[in-house]
Amino acid sequence: MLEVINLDKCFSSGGMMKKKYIKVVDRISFQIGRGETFGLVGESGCGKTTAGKSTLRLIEPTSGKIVFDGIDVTKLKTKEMRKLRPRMQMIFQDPDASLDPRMKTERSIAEPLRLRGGLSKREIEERVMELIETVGLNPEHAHRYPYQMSGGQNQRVVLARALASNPDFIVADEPTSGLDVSVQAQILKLMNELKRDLNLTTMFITHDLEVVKHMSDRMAVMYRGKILEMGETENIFNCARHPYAQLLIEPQPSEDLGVQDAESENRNGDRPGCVFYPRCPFAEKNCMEKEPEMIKMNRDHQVLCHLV
Amino acid sequence: MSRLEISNLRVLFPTDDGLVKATNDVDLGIEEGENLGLIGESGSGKTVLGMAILRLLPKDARVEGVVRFNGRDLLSLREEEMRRVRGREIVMILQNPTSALNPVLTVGSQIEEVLRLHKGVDKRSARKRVVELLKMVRIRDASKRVRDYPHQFSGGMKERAMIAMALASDPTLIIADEPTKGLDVTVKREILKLLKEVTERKSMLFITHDLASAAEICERIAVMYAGEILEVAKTEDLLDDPLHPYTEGFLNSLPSRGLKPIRGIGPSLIDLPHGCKFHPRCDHATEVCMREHPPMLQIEDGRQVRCFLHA
Amino acid sequence: MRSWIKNRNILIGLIIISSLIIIAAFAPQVAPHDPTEVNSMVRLQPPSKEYPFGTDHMGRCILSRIVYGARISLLVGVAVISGSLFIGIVLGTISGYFGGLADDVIMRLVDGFLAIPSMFLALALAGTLGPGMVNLMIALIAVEWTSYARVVRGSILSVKEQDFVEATRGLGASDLYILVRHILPNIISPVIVIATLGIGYAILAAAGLSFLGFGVQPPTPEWGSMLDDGRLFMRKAPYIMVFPGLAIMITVLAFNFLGDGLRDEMDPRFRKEIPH
Repeated sequence: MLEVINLDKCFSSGGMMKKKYIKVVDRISFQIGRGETFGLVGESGCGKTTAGKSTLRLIEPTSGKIVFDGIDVTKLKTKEMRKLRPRMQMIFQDPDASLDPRMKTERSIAEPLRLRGGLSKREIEERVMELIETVGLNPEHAHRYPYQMSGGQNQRVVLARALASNPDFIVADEPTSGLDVSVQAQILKLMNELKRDLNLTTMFITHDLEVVKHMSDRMAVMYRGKILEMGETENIFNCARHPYAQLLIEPQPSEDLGVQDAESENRNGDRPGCVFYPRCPFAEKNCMEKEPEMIKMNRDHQVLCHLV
Repeated sequence: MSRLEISNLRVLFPTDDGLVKATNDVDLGIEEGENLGLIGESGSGKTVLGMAILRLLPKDARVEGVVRFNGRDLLSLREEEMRRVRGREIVMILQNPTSALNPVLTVGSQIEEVLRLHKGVDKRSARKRVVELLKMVRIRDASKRVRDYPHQFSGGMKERAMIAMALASDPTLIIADEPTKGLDVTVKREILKLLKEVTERKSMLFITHDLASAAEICERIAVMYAGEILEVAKTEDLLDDPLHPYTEGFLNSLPSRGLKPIRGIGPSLIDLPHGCKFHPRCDHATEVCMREHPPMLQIEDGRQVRCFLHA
Repeated sequence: MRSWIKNRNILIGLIIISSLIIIAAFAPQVAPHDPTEVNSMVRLQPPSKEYPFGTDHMGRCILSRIVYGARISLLVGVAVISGSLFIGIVLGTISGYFGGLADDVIMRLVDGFLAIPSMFLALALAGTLGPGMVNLMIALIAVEWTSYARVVRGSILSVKEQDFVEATRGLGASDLYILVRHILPNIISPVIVIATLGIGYAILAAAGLSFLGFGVQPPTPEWGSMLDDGRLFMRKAPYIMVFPGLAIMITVLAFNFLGDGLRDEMDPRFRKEIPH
């Protein structure tokens, strides 16, 4: 369904004279099969959100190739891209910010239908009410503004709005991290049901391992713009091979990995070698000097580490 | 002996839309040296409760009840007496270290200020003590980093600096409001470990929505919902055998326990349901739950639950 | 909307401004005399029943001149702000939304305008273009538009980063659609606030320029030029200056009241929040 090859995204900062480039996403490749949920896990600043947005070309990737349903998305012109957009939707972290504060629920949900055109006013109204029901809201919510509803209800509106454009592929970026636990469960359950009923392909971006374990079929662990390990979710939770993935998954890490140092170290110095080297308890000389290659463990389990 | 004893605490906010009942008749005690977790979702009143203890609520809030700390009722103290309690005997660790630290002062000087204000320490020994404190919260190269500004610290280090600042006045009670919110998994783990260590001989009220964090460092946990305490229990008991249907639902909705949601949404604090506040979302609700407000029931060894199921 | 009426500033501002508008609209009915009628028999008369605000050095009724002057002042104020708003919104939008080279060019232009003291720029322009009401307005627009361009650009920069804008782009919407449907409605509140405050400023500046002789030409009644007329007789007949001065003050104050009130109501920073 979706294939991403060597996706790169750099941001530049600083003035005209002294431009600094920061690599946020560094040559990542992955595939997502039809109807599959692909989890992308990492800590803040690892580039997972940028990876998600670049995949949809909501921000332009610096280089790389994205093939969606046989179409090379990176080659499309602005106009063609706009035609394709309804098929790929993004759900953002903060539901309250993802809705125009000046639009009532019904108008927000109707917007994608209007943009697509070809539907009468009646048909739009009917479809909006249908969607409101699909995502578990009441008809009375149709006339409310985002600030009159809770975060969980707004996230349902966001979902309905995304569904209104009949997407095949959804990128969900931490869709529940701002919500209460009991509401998170409601939303995730709803997403699972929708995925099953509509055969949606999903890329689920999160920092929460428990959530990704529950939601995704396959997953990738990102660190400093790179995918360090990728494979079936079950496989990774059972036998993570990369030291960083182990650190994330292991509830009580046996060794003190010097978190502070890693955290305060700045990322724009281009060092050779493995990105995780400064924090890695098993690092060898080789790790500092040479950048590791993706190694295939088995059919669908890859690790970016010299030591496996 | 109880370090802190809250009884019948009620906080009301008048607003344009009506009276917001942020907390209702809260009874809660924290023993000496104990870490008590206060768990609740947004709108449960947990933050208001923390702020009410220190009398940090906005002026128009109506606060009723008794907050007894080391034998004195904090709510009846004069403001200048309260100021001496605040920051010296009780300190608060806030949820956003980035805005809690002054960006134009060095981290060291901010901790020094606390020492000189509350401990009356002279400049030279204050300097020394600051480095000791930073070492205590495991900031590497502490003697160099005292001269750093907050922006030179990462999120986790700022949180550490906040903890050092809280420890500076050697308080007997720490109120920590979501101290690990927004931190990455690996950093969070370290901060929790540190908090547990430094509160070994202190009391702490640990306010959070994250049960896993509370379970890691608290001996007892109180569950709050719609301004009320619904259940208080030892951490293991609460995790293994939750008595209140809300606690059970909350646990089941955790991703690690299968993500089974509680239906409905939390009630409006202006228009609270009659009877048990949780009954509209409760699967075990009976007629009596709608009619009568359940009292707090004392179950064996200090365990409490506010539910008719256990009457 | 209900709470807006409750706001005292808004209420006072609205009452005064609507009274002014009614007075200006029905000037022929309200004014006791013809504002341009010269009558040498009644020069420099103090307020009386016949001439409630007195008469000026040419024997014209000051009250009538103030009533008719309200037309000019309101017209100048509204026209200057509309013109500035138009330029400011167009350039500010291009600059804020599209960024890049256009942003650099427009913002340097704004900086250039701001580098010249505004009254000096207005004077220089009014002097170059020659006296007259239209030229006066052009001069004031040239001074005023920069602040609108800046506010619009700033607001757009913050709104366009919000998720709902990106989400709408994700639906396949065009830039124009996003601008018109989502961005402009969300930035309009701060713009309305500064525009309201700006009307007061424009009226004041127009009166100032007219006082200096660059604005509206006699015999058209205008508050600023009335002040100028009264200057020579300040000792003998202070009412010639006092009443137009009061008119300017009340009008400017009314717009400031309205603007302050609107800011309080529209800016979420002034709203009360409850901790949870």
